[in-house]
Amino acid sequence: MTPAHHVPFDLLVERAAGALPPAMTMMVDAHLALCAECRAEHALCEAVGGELLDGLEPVPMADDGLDRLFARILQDDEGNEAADAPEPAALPWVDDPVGMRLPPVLRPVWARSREKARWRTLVPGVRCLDLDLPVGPEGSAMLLHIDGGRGIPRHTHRGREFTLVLSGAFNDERGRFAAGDLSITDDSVRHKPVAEPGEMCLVFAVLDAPVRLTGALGIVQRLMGG
Amino acid sequence: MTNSVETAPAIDREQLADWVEAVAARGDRPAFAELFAYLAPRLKAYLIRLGAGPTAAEEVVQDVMLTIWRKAASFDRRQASVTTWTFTIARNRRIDLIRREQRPDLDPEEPALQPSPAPAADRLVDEGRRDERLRDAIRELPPEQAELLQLAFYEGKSHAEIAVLRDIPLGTVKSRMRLAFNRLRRVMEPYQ
Repeated sequence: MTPAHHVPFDLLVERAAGALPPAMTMMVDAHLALCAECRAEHALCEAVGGELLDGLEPVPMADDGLDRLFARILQDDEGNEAADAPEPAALPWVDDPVGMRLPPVLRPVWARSREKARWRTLVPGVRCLDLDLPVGPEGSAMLLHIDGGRGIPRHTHRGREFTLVLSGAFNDERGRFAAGDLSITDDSVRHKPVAEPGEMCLVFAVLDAPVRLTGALGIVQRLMGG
Repeated sequence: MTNSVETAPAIDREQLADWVEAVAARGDRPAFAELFAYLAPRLKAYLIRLGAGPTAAEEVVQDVMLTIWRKAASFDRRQASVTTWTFTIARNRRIDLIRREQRPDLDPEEPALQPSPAPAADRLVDEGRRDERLRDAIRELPPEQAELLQLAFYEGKSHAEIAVLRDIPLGTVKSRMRLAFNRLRRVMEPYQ
């Protein structure tokens, strides 16, 4: 199914140009994996990058540039023969209910992250796994697993929150978000997303500043210095 | 700033694609040497534009050309031109290096950010003509739109950075960028 909520065009351009930080790059790539329409748009952006590269005034390489490269290729080939290809590691996503629902671009970071951190309960019915990705000092990148009928308490954000649905769906004041849909909220949005029952609701969230709970739980969060 | 967007000298696009395919098919070194002669100096210029010193730029070019040698078989001329394919490899390599800088303890097994998913290759197009049309369309953009493309792609600036740099509202940057791509999209429609 085609997603209804897409990556804004400016992010597609920034992704194509290589101007996005790593977590956002991955967010856009995960949406592209699920959205043919944006893939075509992104391909156009990349083609523009290619044409611009073609038009640059060339800067000469060192005289031995090509020779060095051939030497490196030779070395690599010999190294490979000596070492022989190692057995491919087991594919940890095949049998995992979360892993199997991830687009390929997210699998390595998921596999790495769960070695380093555990799924923790955020609020009842909502568990999260911090992703091992570089984010700004106040930012975070995580996978969220939301039980049907449960959700995140009403909250706002100091910065922007990007939430990509990977499977299942959630609803909030703005509508329904299903697999492939990207929700973007900033400090003007106060929302309370609730997962639909049925297919596991799994989302990839990137925040550039922490969430502020605004309901009763928010008072607790503030008391606890959150 | 010098002129907006220079156009490429007339190199036969089909020729570039033929060379990549020769490398893929039989590790053709003379073909690869031709690719190196054409692509490496442009990649070096690109990386220097993005702020790399000449020595660092040269090293990254080596990495990119090595990837071209190794991954030549994954090139599909129906999907993208050789320069577009090369551009995405260089861009991903750069993102990967930036990420390592931010996280020096990065797992060495971590694959470079994967190439972005390609569009479906269910169409056969006249690739040479497609690339030529796009190049002409870029050259014909109004200067203020062409300059934005330059800042975004040659200098890796985000829209927000461009807004600060040029002292124009972020909304203006976004709408000019949209206008630019609307033109390019119209030109490219028959090929998509």
